[in-house]
Amino acid sequence: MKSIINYILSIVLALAIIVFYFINLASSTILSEQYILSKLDEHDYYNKIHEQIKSNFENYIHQSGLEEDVLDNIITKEKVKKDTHIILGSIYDGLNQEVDTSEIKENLNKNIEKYIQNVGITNEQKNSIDTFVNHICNEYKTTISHFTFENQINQYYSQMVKIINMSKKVLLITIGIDFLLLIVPNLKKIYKCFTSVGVSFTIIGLIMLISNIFINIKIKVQTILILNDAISEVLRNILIEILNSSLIIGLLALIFGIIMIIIPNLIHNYKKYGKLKSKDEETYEKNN
Amino acid sequence: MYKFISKTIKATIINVIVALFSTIVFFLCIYLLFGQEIDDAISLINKVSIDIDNKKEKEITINEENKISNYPEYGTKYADIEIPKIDVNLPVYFGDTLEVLKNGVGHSSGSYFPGEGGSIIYMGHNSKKVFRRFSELQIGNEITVRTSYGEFKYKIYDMQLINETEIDKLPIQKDKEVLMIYTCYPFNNIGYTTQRYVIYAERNDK
Repeated sequence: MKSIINYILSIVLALAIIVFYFINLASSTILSEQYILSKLDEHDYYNKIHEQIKSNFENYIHQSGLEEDVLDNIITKEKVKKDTHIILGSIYDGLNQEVDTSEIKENLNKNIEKYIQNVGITNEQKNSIDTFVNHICNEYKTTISHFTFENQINQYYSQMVKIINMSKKVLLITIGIDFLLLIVPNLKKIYKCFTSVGVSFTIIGLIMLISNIFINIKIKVQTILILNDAISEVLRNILIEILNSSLIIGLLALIFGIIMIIIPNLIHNYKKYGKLKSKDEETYEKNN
Repeated sequence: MYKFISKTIKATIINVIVALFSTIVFFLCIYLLFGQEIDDAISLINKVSIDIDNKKEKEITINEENKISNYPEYGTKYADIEIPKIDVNLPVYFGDTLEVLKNGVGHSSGSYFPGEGGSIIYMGHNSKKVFRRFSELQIGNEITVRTSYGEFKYKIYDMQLINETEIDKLPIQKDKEVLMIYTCYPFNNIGYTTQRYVIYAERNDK
């Protein structure tokens, strides 16, 4: 009966540790603004998105009757970086700032004016140039992923952070109580306590390894494409990093778990049979 | 001497079996409780997981009932269009994004394919490389579409000017093979155009 209770406590401990690990993993990766900023820098995001924006602008040139050089120097990498930070600020900090495209509009209009200065344009053409400029500005916002629902995401994010912080406390208390329940009744046979922890870590290792293998088989992480190439590359790398780290943690948990099962049992049995052996020898000597 | 080792091995095996059994029960519970949700999430993620490098192009074929097998992948070239009157000979790509139109003529994904017997919608920029001379086309001019599964000839029978917003309302019909090609209007405009010039051509090689 006591063994069954110990196993149940081991399973509860394993589940609590796994949930605690994944909650911590999420809050230190995708839910951390600093982590995302560091990943954007690491994967040269600003350069790539800058190139992507220029390429998307070129798509509008072919039907505009304008030359490609009207798009020269209308955006800078610094502007892209600043606006990306504004978007992340809206998502993570609820700053609610708007991406300002007036600079792009101004630069583009200047370039178009240079292009058409020798050509008389009608009012109708002036309107279509304005529409073209607005399309370019909207394309810029779309490519850097500036949408109207960032504040909504921030609301979900804030709620999620609250839930996560509360869950962390609940899980820590659960883990603490579980440990106490494992240790206190087994004070005289402390090896059982270690074995139970070993079983917990073996379960953790197995769950993490099997989940990892399942995800790698079922989901083609390497080819995920969301919004555009630059964003997808960062996202893919973050996911791969998370999967790799959980694979390593899973392996370590499994090895640690098995060691925690073997060593205490080995010591306990060695002591037990060592004592029995010496008792047998004593009895044998007495009898002779 | 080895009794304590065998006891240890036995205890280890029992504990590992318990751990393994608990893991199986855990996954079984997860599957029973969230199996459908997990399947949905996986298929949703795999929908945005596109393996561009390993895309194997299958040969497009058409049977006697005008049914096409192995439609081309979105964004890939599947035909060439020739309009002798305005010296046009361009590749046709399946798709209608600006990225596709940068390379040649686009094929609206909601319309039929040449040979299928329904309405086909093509589009292209009015730039020098594509349809700048579209205004020179007249009723009776010929258009040829060459695909890997056959050659299809069409004859222009009408032209129309419509607003950009009306493009979605172009008549798609399944009983008559009509090729509709549109480009931006006015042809020599500067900026973003809001009108489209459409030519209608019917199948002429049956």
